[in-house]
Amino acid sequence: MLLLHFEIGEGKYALPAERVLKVLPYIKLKKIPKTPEFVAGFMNYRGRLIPVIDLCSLILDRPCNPFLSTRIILIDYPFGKEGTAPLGLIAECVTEAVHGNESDFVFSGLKHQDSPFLGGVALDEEGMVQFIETNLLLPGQVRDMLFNYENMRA
Amino acid sequence: MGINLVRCTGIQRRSSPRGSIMNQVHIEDCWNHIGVWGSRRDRCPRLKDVIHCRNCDVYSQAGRRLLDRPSPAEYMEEWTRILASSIEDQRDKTCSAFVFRIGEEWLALGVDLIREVAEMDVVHSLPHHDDYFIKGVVNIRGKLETCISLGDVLGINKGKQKDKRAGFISPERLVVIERDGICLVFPVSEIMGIIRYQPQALEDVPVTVAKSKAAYTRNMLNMDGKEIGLLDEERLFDFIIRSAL
Repeated sequence: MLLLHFEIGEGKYALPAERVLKVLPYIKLKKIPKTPEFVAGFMNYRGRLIPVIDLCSLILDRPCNPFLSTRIILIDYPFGKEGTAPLGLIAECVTEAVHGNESDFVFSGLKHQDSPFLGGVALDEEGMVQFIETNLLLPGQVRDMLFNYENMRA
Repeated sequence: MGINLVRCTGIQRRSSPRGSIMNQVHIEDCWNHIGVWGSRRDRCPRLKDVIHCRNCDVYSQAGRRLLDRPSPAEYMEEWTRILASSIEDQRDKTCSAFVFRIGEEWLALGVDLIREVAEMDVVHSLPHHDDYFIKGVVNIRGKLETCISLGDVLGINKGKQKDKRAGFISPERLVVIERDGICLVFPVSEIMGIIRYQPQALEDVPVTVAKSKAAYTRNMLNMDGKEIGLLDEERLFDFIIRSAL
């Protein structure tokens, strides 16, 4: 399977490319008041409002550096039974896609209470890469807040 | 003499204090010292395996690290604007044309006709050939192809001669076109590239256009203030084949 590699601070992470809709440059976002720090805001993508979260804030409690290599990964985020919706993830060093196997990622045995999205770890020649479980990215509360389609229809 | 590979290949990762974005990337350009572009006696031991620096992952990683610098404010603003714009207008532009300039005139041909664009080369003239538009033959990938002057066919004045200032790279190119197995080459003053347009955007050729040019121009297209003449390839090829080949 194809994996999109990126970095959060000094750590390397990967997510399956089949989840990725598009990789976009880091653009200006509309901050949403009264949301957790890691919710970077809304982006206007082709006239559509898409929520964007900052993975550095989520994992390291500091926003991503506004570098050229920092990009927005647009993924198909599955939520509830209703299906999927696009969600933007800001990550650093989004410069490479590599082939790998899901079986390369081994579980460390560590259970992340607050961050269930941190999956298994693969060892490549340059270091370790951790798998991101995209469907577990958002805490339930935030997910319900960002993807509240019942409210939208009303 | 051993080379400290880690040192010469190490690209210092930004050691950014929190929030500070002012640090630029520092890249150790080992390829300019011990690599293929270097002049030092002690060559990089990696060259034995990779042959050329461009095959080396140190080199490609360094390229990627170039992006680890602050993005300019205009860059973010421009992309914010681009991504906010609707994609629809692009989708409607279903036709495409290859646009080039001969003298002062912008002209276009169907993209499917274009085989390749080559660097300007010497045109070898053919003796005993008195067709005014046949320039001779040129070497395209080891094959001799007929070189014509499209400007002469259309009656376009070449206009100003090329700019020979120092450091000025001439935009002149040879365009290779092919239709029904017949290959023709013609020089152009400049190439704009491939444009996309909506079929509705085509305009009729004004009656004031010079006669020979009008005969081979199918439509006009206005693009960024430039009037582009879309050439009728069928008539053009017919004329050339009838009169010369």
